[in-house]
Amino acid sequence: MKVKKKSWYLTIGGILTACMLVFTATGLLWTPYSPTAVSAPDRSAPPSAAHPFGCDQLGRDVLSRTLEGAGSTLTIALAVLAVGAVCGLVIGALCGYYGGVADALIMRLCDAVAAFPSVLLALVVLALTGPGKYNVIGALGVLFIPSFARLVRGEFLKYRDRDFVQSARLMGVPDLRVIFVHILPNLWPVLLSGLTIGFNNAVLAEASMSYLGIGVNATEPSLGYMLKDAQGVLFTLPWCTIFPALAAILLILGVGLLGEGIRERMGGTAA
Amino acid sequence: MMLDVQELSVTFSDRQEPFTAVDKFSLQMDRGEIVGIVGESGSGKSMTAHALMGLIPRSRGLVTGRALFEGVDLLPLPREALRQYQGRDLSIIFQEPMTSLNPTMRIGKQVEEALFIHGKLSPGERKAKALAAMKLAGLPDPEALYRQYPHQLSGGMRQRVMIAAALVLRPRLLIADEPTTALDVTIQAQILDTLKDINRQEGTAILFISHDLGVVKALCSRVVVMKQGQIVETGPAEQVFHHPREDYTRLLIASRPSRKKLRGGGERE
Amino acid sequence: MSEPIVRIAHLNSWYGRGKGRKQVLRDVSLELAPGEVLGVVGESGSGKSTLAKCVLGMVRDITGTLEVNSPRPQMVFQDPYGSLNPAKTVGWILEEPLRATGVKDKEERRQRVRDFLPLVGLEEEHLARRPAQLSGGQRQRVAIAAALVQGSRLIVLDEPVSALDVTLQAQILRLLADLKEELGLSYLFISHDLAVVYQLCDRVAVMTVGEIVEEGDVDEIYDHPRHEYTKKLLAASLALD
Repeated sequence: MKVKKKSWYLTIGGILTACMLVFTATGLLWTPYSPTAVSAPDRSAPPSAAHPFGCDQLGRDVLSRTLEGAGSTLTIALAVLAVGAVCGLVIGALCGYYGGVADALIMRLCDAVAAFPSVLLALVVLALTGPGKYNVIGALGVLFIPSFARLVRGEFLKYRDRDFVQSARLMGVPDLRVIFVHILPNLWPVLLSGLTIGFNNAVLAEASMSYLGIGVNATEPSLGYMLKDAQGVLFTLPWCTIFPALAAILLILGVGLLGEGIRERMGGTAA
Repeated sequence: MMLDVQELSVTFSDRQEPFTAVDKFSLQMDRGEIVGIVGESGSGKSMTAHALMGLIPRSRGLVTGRALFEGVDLLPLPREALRQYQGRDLSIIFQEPMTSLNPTMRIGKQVEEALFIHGKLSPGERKAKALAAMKLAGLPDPEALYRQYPHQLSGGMRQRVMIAAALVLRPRLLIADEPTTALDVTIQAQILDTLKDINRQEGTAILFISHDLGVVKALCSRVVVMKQGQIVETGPAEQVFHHPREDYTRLLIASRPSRKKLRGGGERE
Repeated sequence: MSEPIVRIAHLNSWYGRGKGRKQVLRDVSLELAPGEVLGVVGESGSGKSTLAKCVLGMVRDITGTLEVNSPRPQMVFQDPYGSLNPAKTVGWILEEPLRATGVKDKEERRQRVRDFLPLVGLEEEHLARRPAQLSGGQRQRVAIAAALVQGSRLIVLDEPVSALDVTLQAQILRLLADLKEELGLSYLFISHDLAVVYQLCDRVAVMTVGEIVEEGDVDEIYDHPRHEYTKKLLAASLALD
């Protein structure tokens, strides 16, 4: 029996994540100024009542840009995660359940993909396809498949010979139903913690790609792109770096704590 | 008197509400006696054994009462002091011979383990003691087994290795927690014979914990029947089995599979 | 006598492939008549579980004759903690066999499950619970109900009471005996426990290292064992004295 303690991870992570979601959702709908509007008089203005996060060297409002940037970072991260998790789940489930030669081949392929530093591989892909939101999502999404596939496959290996699975087969339940309706619900705790870790990796990967200048277009700033933009004025206009960085950190921290809290909660009850 | 347990209680407070696993358990045991504790799951029989061996972490459960082993109360002893008793004076063997042994250690080393904690011996002396204990536990060809690994042995053999490891310091009390439950019946019968031999040859007292009345009846001179943490009935084995005083004991005995046919529709032959 | 529900003749079975291929069943022959309970007794490694899996069509690597004249034979497993899906409710678990046989109407499925509950001694309130919220005995009742709800006539019982406390063992054995009469079932009862087998079975087959060494009427075998191994097994069975 597990010791029941009040979990602060879940509470703090939940509040932080909720705040960041409200923040980014606001950014998608409304920003105080246009994120791309250049205002000459406000050039390099420090934080003030009119511009709470200050302005950059072109006079663009940092709050508006952070709002917009967080929105696009979040969308990209979620899309990457969706591509990686859905494909990884299907591949992992089928490989783990059926095994055999196909499983061995696919898993070696996953190993090969995972053996490259993911950003490097994404760089190559984007060098071929050109930058842009959808190309970033595609390239990173594919790179996220192996880790999910491996996670899910391991779980399926564990479950495929359990008595309740055999019993379902004896009753004539079709394989796909056994996989997705009988076994999959048992994976939620593991999947959830995998998703939170994956989310953080996706945010970081997007940020580093934009930072390297191969991510989204300049017209559609992401947090990573803003950091890249601000690196020349890191010491003279620190608010251009601090606020987008803070947004990224809080986003990652919130989801990370939430995941930790979920793991803790599930750890005691998961069979 | 060798072991005198007085009103032993174990209460776990790490759950939503405190749970008393053992409630005022008392038992007196003489040297060389074999006593059985019988009960179903949740009866507290294993918890009692674990409490006697100091295996319940103080952070998890509260152990109260007294457990006098040759006059010394074991319960309040700090871990280091208790270790002086464990293995040398009293030992325990568990149900699962598969997980109780370290798969990466040779059999001989595992049997010798207790010798490292208690006193200094030369490697030769240690080996001699280990081989003697293995022989006592009924292991054939101890010399060869000494260098083997657990995975090379069958379940019955592994349990014998556990018994040898528990006996290497010649304790006066052996606590056996369902030692034959995971084994095949023919192996179980052999292990029970071995335990009887050890008792006869060495005068080792055995506190035998089991859910299986048949096994307890075959081995023990005295029986304690437990249910939900409490003692239901205690007495000489013959008396408890043939003239049970309590309804629960009668139910346990009646539930034992016996040569009685079950027929559908409620009628019995 | 009507046609046997299971007929096995000269069945051999192997496990693994290539060099590690091992024979687990050797020239096994048996028959199970409708309405009969046949016990298969043996210790670990005797091949009794493999035999059960063969009857259920779960083993591919076999030679010999294997006829099973019952649609969808089902199995009740030893461990009621592992045989029920921990992520589902009892109601879902009991409806699933009906979904698998194509009972599309939700109400019909629910009704059939509800009708079944009193037979196995479960209440309607149990339907909303998950396996973790049931006792060991209740779980085994759910497992038995799930095996029966499709209407299978042949049930393979693989140590169905070995993981249970003795008082529960008696209840579940009683239930199995009643269900057999009421629904006209045939059981293939796999067990290591001679006493349990005696209570429920008409005939018994004793297995060791992949072979049936002795087979016949329960009383006959228990009173006059012919094979050495049977004698040894009976002598070791403490519950029978």
